[in-house]
Amino acid sequence: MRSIFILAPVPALLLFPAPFFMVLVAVAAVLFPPAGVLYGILADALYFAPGAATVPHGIIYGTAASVGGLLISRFLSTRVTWFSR
Amino acid sequence: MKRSAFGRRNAILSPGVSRAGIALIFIVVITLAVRVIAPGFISTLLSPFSYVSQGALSGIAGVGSVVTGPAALEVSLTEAQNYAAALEAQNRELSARMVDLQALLGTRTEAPAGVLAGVIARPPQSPYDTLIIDQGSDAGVGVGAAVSGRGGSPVGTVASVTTSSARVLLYSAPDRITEAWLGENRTPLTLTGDGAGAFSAEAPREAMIAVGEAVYVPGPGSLPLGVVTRVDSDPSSPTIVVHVQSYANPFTLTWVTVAPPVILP
Repeated sequence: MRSIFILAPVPALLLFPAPFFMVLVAVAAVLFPPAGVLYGILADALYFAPGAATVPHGIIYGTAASVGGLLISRFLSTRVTWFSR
Repeated sequence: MKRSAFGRRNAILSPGVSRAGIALIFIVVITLAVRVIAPGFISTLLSPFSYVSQGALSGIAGVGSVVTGPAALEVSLTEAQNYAAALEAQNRELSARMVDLQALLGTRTEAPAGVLAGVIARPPQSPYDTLIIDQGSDAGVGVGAAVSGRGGSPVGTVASVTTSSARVLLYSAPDRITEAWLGENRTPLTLTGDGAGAFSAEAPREAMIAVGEAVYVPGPGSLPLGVVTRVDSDPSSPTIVVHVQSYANPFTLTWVTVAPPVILP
């Protein structure tokens, strides 16, 4: 079940609007914190164009998602039994 | 009995999460390698998903229209508005061209040539205000070439090219600066992209800008980019903020025309 949530943003990146992908990445980052950075790199590899931004936003926001995911996952793992399994 | 190191449970991640994480890392590394080694393959990879995505989104809209009548009407209305906007853009372009040609006594009347390209990825799938199109340097697409949508309405310029695909940076990309003209008097205006086909610009209060005025960008003549939708005025400021919406809706672009490179003698 967790694997599905972690890998769900992959098809979403190709098929659905970006906001939907970002929501799925936020969920995936809670279950697997490096997912934020990894999906940021993936989004930039697919869609970033020279001049589109001074810095690749995908990696920046992905890192923020990873940090947030790490904090939330640590919080949950100490309080929710299911999450720490 | 002592357990081996391989049989020990991961203290940080469960086995399912570890497997999914490894799969994700593998996908990212492969995609990055493809982007570096064979960037043209990315468009080949994306194009089938684009067709599935179009079908899925229109299917969802179709199901929604069966369940709710107003949704179907809204889809029809959006299509009609897009069509009307394209016709209006074409009309403005033809009018502007006619005025310019009349001023030049008909020294140029031939239609501009271009490369027709299908759009593989567009906003909102693309997180940036970019398009990925299915024509590249093999078809004559070059970096910096102007790209236009339906009705000849300009949408952006080519930012990077591979042999079989290209990335187009829209004029409305966030913080992108575009020099433009306003109205029939061609008042100069510096537009800043706000994303999703929207622009904003500062202008002096004395410019007397009204909602509904057309905005043009330099091209072959002057090309209609969009229309003024709102003017924000603060009594304490000597300038006003002009909000512009492009004629071409970046969310519905399916075909674009890429201008050929200009060869100077």
